[in-house]
Amino acid sequence: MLAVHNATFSYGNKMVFSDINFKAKEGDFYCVLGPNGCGKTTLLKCLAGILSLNKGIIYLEGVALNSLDRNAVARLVGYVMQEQDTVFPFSVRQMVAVGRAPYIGTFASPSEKDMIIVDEMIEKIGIGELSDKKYTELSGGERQLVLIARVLVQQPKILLMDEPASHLDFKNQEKVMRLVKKLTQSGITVIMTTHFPNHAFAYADKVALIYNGEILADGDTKSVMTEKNLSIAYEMPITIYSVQGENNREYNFCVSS
Amino acid sequence: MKKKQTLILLLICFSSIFISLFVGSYRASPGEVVDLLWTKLTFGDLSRFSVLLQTAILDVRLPRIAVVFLVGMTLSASGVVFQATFQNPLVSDHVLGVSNGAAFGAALALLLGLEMIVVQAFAFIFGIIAVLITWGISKSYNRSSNLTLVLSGIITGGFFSALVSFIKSVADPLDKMPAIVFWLMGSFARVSKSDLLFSIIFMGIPLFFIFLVRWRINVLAMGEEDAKALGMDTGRFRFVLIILCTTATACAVSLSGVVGWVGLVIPHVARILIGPDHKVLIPTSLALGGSYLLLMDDLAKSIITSEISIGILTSLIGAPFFAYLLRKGTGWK
Repeated sequence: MLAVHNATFSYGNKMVFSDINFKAKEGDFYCVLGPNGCGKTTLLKCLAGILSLNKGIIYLEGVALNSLDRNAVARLVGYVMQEQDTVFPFSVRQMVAVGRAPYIGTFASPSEKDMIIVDEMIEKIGIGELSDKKYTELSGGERQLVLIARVLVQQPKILLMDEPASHLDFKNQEKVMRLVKKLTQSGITVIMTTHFPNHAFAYADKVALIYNGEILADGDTKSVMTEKNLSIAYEMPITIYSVQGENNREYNFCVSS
Repeated sequence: MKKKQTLILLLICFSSIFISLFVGSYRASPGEVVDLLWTKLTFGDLSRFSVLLQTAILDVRLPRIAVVFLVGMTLSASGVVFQATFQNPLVSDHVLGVSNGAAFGAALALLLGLEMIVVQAFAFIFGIIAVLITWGISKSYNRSSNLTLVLSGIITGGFFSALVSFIKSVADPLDKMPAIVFWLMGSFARVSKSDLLFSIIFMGIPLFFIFLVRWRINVLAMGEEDAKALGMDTGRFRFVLIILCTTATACAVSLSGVVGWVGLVIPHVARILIGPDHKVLIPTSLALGGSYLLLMDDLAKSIITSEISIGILTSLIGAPFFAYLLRKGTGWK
């Protein structure tokens, strides 16, 4: 589905990340963790085709990303940026409709069929009552849901999310994370950066831990999210606790000790 | 766009055009004008009308209406496009230096005592040269972005406006300087039938393409990175939009001189009225821009016996009106 080989990126002389390798398969929930400035966002932008790697190749379904045109990439890969800060007060419906862009010709605008897809997605995400509201006047949580609806009408197979929970309150964080988890269960591959290791514990199948522009560890959540790895990555002692919840479900979480 | 909205816009366009048919220094009764136009449209015999009337209406008034309407559409549509492209409510058709460049071209030609047609050509060419210089400056920076493009436009504009001042200061104060000053203030008095083809090619065609790609401007308005993630080749699309707007604006300025505020006021009015969706915002701006400038031109023709410069009117009326609008909300975040 998605394979990254020896990915290296630098702004001028400043190396952002080097020799990154990883693979994600259909329906994977892949969390990318790491401290501020470790290159997580830049990596996502490269995966979305917004930035180009200096070295290395990204394969989407076996095809090199840089051999595809933008529209083709956008039909495969959706990207939800951390803050969509448009200055125009588009309505939610207009905003979500923009997600159909890769399927709409240069001289065309969304057809009735496109708008049906848009309206259905708005209902499915549960923001039907916001449909005619102005995007710019919504709360952070509502905006995030609008952006998720927008990226889903793009019908991507791979969904890249840049810290979708970072501006949300506790309830909205859980709402968004559960929604994303559900998407992976429907077969979409999600690559998500996050500042909250506990989100990785709760939701991720796989984790890549980035430190100083290199992958410190990656693989199954449990094997990567060890006290030792986390302590190195965040440069402070971290302890992981495990508790038994309802139905014998195990909950892991970490705190700085 | 809803049917009702389309109808209202068409009504505004037709009534402003209709009113303009009767405004001008040649005094013709409305009945005569309508009769003449009807006869012309139905290929009837025109010989019963005086030659003076025919010239006044068919050769002067009608072409002027067409050119004014095209210029109004150009200035307001360019305003909308530039505001979306740069995500900045303060930019308008002048942002990349096209007006200053055109002003310099015209002033230079007037200083050299060249024919009016050459003055127009100079204005058109220098308008485009100015934007090319702006583009070149912004490309020379390491990281070119919307901001560097706007800054480059300010640099180029400032440079050309200094050149215009220089030309004014060396021009003959009795003869050439007034001509330059009057040209710069903006007027449609010099427009003639022969400008029609030039207007349609360099304003009509770019406007048609802007109209065609209007929904895509929504995608660009999401911002550079977001638009790329949505599959848009932002560099190319922005470049094409800038070429279309620059060509049309350079043509507009070369015909009318510098008519300020239209590219700022009309897009904001349209956005407040109909919202930011460019699918409807572009047609609305085209209709309102054309009609507004036409009515301003009627005012310019009729307020005092000799014609007042339309650039003065659009600024005198546009600026306070803009201030009033901002009280009602900006149409922006």
